[in-house]
Amino acid sequence: MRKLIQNGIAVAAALLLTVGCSETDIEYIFPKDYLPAYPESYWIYSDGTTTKVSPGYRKHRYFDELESTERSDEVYVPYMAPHYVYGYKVTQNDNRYPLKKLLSEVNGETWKIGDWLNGTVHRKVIDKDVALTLSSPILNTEEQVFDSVIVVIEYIKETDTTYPWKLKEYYAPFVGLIRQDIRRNNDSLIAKELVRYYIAEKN
Amino acid sequence: MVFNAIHWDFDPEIFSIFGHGVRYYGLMFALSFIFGYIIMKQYFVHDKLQESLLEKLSMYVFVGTLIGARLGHCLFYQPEYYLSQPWEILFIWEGGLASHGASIGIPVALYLYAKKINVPFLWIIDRVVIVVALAGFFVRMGNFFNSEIYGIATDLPWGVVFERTGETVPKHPTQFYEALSYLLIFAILHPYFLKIRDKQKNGQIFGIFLILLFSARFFIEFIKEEQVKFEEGMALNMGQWLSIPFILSGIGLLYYVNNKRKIKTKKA
Repeated sequence: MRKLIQNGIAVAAALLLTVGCSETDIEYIFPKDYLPAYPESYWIYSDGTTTKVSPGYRKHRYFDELESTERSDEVYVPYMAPHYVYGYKVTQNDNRYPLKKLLSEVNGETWKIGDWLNGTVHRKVIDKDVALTLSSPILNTEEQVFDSVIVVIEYIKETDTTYPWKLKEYYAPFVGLIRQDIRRNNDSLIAKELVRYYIAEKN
Repeated sequence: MVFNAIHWDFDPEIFSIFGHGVRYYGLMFALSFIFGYIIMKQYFVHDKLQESLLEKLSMYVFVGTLIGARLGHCLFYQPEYYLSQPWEILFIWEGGLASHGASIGIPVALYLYAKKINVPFLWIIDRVVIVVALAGFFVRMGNFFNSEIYGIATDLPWGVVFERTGETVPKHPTQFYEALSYLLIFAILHPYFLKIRDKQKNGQIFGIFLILLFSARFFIEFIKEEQVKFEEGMALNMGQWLSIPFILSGIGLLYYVNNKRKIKTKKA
């Protein structure tokens, strides 16, 4: 019995050491300036939608696009339901493109975010130094004019045709998404703007 | 390009209490239990069983569903996260329930219940699967309100653009397809059970349920996102391969219950 207890303690200690070692190896992916999704931050928009970042960083990994059964390294990332945030990329409901890059700080950069029947869905930075005035001031900060705003469009591309954008987004430094224009059926445009936000401490 | 699509930007939260949102998903979950209770009561009254046994059954199924679905989510989807901080398994209000976890939790709970009140396991499961089909309808509608688990891109006029999750192109609303399939299964099983219940053989309804439910899942999987990368290039995905044994079990069970006497006589 005594031997059994001793062995049990040894196994438990070994397990604790293993867990302890692996914990320190896990990298943190911190938010970037134009998408400051620090835990507990939130953004409320004019259409009533709220985006919240859950408290703390969450361990996450995903199936890698290139390797058939390989998964990405496990990292700690913010969780902005339903997306895990990897810098300017977020997870999405598409295993061919597990991460969707929302924006880039390079003007003119274009990238693919998914497939669409016989075409593909792309994003492109069309401007990176815009001064944007929202239709009304932000409720808790009184800000209305934002400088150095990055403008990104999302559009569908087929072999010989590039269609007009479906989505246009405006990202402000240290704030995040401040305006979104959505082109719906019959080319009607829906706009939503930031009305209140809170960016948590960077820790 | 103009899509003839439905734009879905539905707020999944009904209201918030102390910073915790009450969602339509939770309401759907509750409705599945309320309607399930009402229907099971009809069955129990017909079988001249006490209502206290139904209350006990509700408790077994509720606990089995909750524990199964929560453990299913935590252990199938994020085992590393939850095993490193197991106390968060209890934080159900933060979301995260998996239906295949419930599909293990419910039969275990029913087995224990059948043992406890001394009835055949197939007798009780025959009745419960009818309300499970209805519950499946409510839960998948909850997934639709949450804008989650949808399918691949489509240009069909009922394709849905799930704007809440940042989609800009229409996708198959597979949660809605599943919800309708489960409602249809309920609409078939409930009147059929009422018609045959006095001469019903134990396992008959469960057999039909397995065939219908997993056939529906088998076909809907064709338009679902691949769950894991190794499914790419496979003729059937993992969900479809996993459905086949259940369909075959349903066929086997039906064959067994319909030929039970003959099989026993032959053995003798």
